[in-house]
Amino acid sequence: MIAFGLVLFTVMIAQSILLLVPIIKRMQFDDLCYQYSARILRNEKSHEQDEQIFTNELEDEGLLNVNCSFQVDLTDEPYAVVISADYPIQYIGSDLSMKEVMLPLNFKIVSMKMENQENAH
Amino acid sequence: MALIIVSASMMLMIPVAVFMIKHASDFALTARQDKIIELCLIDAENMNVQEVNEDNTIKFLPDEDTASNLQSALYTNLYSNNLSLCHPIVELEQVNYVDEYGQEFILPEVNVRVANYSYLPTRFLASASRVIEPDFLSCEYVED
Repeated sequence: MIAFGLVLFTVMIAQSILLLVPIIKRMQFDDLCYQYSARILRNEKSHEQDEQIFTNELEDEGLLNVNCSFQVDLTDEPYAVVISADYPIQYIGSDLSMKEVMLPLNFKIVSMKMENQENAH
Repeated sequence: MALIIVSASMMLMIPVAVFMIKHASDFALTARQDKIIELCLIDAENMNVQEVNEDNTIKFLPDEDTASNLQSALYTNLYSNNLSLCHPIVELEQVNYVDEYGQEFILPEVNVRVANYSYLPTRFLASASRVIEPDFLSCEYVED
């Protein structure tokens, strides 16, 4: 009974830590997205090189299927920044085995310029 | 005895784990809101325009229309980042600003608060304010 209690206790601790990992990863992802978005909103330049650097940086953080697009011309595309990626998270299943699911992470930012354009139409 | 200790520690662990996850999630939510607000304020700074009225007085923007656009952009940003239960409130105030040469200006200050409807009563987790300075304040005077 004590052994069972200890196993359950360990599983709960491990599960709590595993549940906190996606929250921390989400904050890391948002932080990187914020840094690049701020740079893009401040400077209106070509962002092709930025896209590649940013994609590599996210992949180094362990994210998969990274897709990002930084727009300068907002006439066709409503979003100035669109970033999507997947993060493989692990959790303990009901049979006490490790299971893996993909956590989709998305980040989208519109610029006030787009809102102005919509109002002008 | 051991059984009582294990049961008691488990009963204690459950609320502690829930408390930890809830607070970590609140912290992450506020951090996300803060970042989105900050991006919108950077965008507002880029608007940084001024108009000269007929009586040669300078009208600084953002004005109420710009604040409305900012609120709309902020709402879209919160919604598209899965923060749809958060509602932004953008208000404008005027602040006195004295530059390094002693000249006084009245500048607009944008105040943003984000109401979070997932709490009852509604709570404001994130807020920020920024004085929008026109371009010429960052320029240096050139002596003849």
